[in-house]
Amino acid sequence: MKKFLLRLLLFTAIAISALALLSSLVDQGLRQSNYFGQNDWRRLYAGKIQADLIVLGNSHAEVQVNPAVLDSVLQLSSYNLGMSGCQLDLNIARYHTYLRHNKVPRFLIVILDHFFLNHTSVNYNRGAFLPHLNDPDIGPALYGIGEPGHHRYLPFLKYSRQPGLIGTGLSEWPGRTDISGDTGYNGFRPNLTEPDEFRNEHWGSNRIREEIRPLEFYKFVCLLQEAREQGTRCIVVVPPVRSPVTRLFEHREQYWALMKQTAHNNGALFLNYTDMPLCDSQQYFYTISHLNKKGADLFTEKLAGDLREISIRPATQR
Amino acid sequence: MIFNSLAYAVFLPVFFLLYWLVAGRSYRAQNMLIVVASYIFYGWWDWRFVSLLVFSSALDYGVGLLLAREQTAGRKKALLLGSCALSLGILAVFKYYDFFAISLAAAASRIGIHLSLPVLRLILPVGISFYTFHSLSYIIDIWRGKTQPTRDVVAYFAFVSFFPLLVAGPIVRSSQLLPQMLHPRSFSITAARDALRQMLWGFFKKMVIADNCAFYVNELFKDPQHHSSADLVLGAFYFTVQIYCDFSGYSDIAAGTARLLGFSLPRNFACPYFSKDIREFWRRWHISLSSWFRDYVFIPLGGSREGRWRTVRNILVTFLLSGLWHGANLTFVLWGLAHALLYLLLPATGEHNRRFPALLSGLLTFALVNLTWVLFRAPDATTAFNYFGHLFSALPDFAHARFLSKSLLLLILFLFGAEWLGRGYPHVFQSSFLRWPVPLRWSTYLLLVLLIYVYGGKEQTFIYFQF
Repeated sequence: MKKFLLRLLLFTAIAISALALLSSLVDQGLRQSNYFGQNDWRRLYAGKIQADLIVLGNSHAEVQVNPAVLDSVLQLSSYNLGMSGCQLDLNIARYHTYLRHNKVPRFLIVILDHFFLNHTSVNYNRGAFLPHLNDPDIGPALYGIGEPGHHRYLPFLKYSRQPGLIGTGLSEWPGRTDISGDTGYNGFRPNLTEPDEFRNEHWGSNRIREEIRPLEFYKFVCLLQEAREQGTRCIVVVPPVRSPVTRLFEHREQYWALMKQTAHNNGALFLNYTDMPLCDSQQYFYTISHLNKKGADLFTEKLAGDLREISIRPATQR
Repeated sequence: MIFNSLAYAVFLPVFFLLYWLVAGRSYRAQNMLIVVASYIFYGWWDWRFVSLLVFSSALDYGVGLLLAREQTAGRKKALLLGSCALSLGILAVFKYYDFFAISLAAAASRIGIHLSLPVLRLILPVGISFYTFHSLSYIIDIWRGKTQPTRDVVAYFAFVSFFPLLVAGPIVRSSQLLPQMLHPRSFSITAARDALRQMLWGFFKKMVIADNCAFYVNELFKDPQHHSSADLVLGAFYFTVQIYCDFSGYSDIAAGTARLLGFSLPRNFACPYFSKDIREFWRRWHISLSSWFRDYVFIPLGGSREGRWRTVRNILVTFLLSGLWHGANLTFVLWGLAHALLYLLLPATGEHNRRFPALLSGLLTFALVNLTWVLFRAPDATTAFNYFGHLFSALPDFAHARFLSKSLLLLILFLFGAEWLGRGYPHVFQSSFLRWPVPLRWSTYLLLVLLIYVYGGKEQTFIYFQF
């Protein structure tokens, strides 16, 4: 029995070591790849962002706020840390990771749509986060939204049933110097769809009730307070969406009023762009709620213009 | 609790250590531990049905003792029939009542009679078909005088509730397992190592092959009319592989677990897809169930000794009951009927007909079995016939098949290759594989573990849990 148990332990130890090694190789390979914004993660961890202005948010940030336009108008360096499918929870985690490796920004733009505070991240790209599961900020955020806790103890289990991801990680592991293929500029990943290739999302005609999860609201307030304590000027921005969609939200006026009050109470500014003229024109959108590149540039220009005005006259708010 | 879960990965090692290191000196203590662990194992799914298991065990334990004490043939038969009626009655209520109530109401409405029978919508207790047949075989064998009842209540409860077999078999006779419960077991390193190999192979079949086939099968059987003929052919093939790997994988894990504890179980699958005819298929597929029906249904009805038409009748009844055993659905009845007809058509194929080469008859048998599995898998008869209709509507064009997965087909090829090489043995790793050098063997085990990690499909329950 003793001999059997010892051999079993030996096999288990070898298996665990092999899986741990494989997990490490895949992690490294993915971090070195262009897989879903790993370029941004690399710069973040290497402390190569060091931006004056950071943008947070979900897809409404990632595809709609162009740092190049912000830089040109505001004459500072900006970076878009927005990620599709990621709500407040993962954005905060990533922002904290950013702060551990980069300087505190002077400005923080939080793109706030109607879903940012009403549920946790459910549609995020899990594969993009797995290589960073051991990060002290990212890991707890992921475990908090459903990543099984035992993944932190059992090696390689996080990659189980992901043969494509494993293949990508292993093929990239030897290292790459060529980062072409990443269409992003400072985190901005615009959609280049032409206006006549509009993709209809079916929102129906039923009214949508805004919901705010208390925990997410609390995290939002903490973020604003933290930014204030660090000397970062926080700007809460409601992005443009197509007018028919805006009208579906039943309590939008009250929702925006609450957000504006919350921002103001915590030393942040509040800007609402849902009544921009481009909201009435399909040619600036590639879906009913997302701007294409043309629309994104127009929106960012407007936003940058307003920020420039505010930075000269800080008491002014829309 | 299912085998392919983290809970079982913790449960088994803890139980194993307690079984050999704490209770190892006394087989009675080990039996008690088996009972406790088995009820925890079963109750993990739904603790309410543990009472049903306890009741069923207690009933047949008591009836067994009464049968041995009773001298009068008439009273013995009454005890037997009473026990069978109660056991099968419980099974019938949980499993078949709604099916028959709805079918009866539908049939009556066709002839203008309005029948309003209540539908119970009871949850089917996992494994009820298996442990009911376990205890039925015990009672019937006592009545026939083939076995003596045991007075050791713990050993009997351990026999009925033995957790490796509890939820999906194999259906082990009391004569096979009960004597092992009543004698001390000794730990054997050779047996334990072989058990782990068998379990590893079982996990590979279930988690890599079966669960990945399930992904395509579930899509194809949802609405077969929207898929091409080629995809439907692939769907039938994938399900053929899925059900074999799912069930034989379970049996391998069960047998391996039992061997870790010092028990030896009969083989339940003997490479059935290499059969050259349907009769051989039924000697190799789910051996424990087919032999149960042979010994307790077919032979008591007269078997094949009372003339041609009685033999036909007995075969039909046996296969129909076997189909019905799998579930309360017309598709299972049709599946049983299909196999009965194929069984009766034996002279047209197989080893008794030398005009057919073995390879051809083997392929024909495999193709026929593939087709009958469509009936087994379809949620209802309409879907099954839709499936057949579209499958035969055109020549399959595999070049444009959406569900052709090269990686899965490669794994299936590896599976069949390994099973072919190990066909003369209870499992693949007992073959000439044992003569490979240790580093190569360990690398193979590591590779299988890695494949389970990488390709292990989304956690699916075992198909036979629903029976």
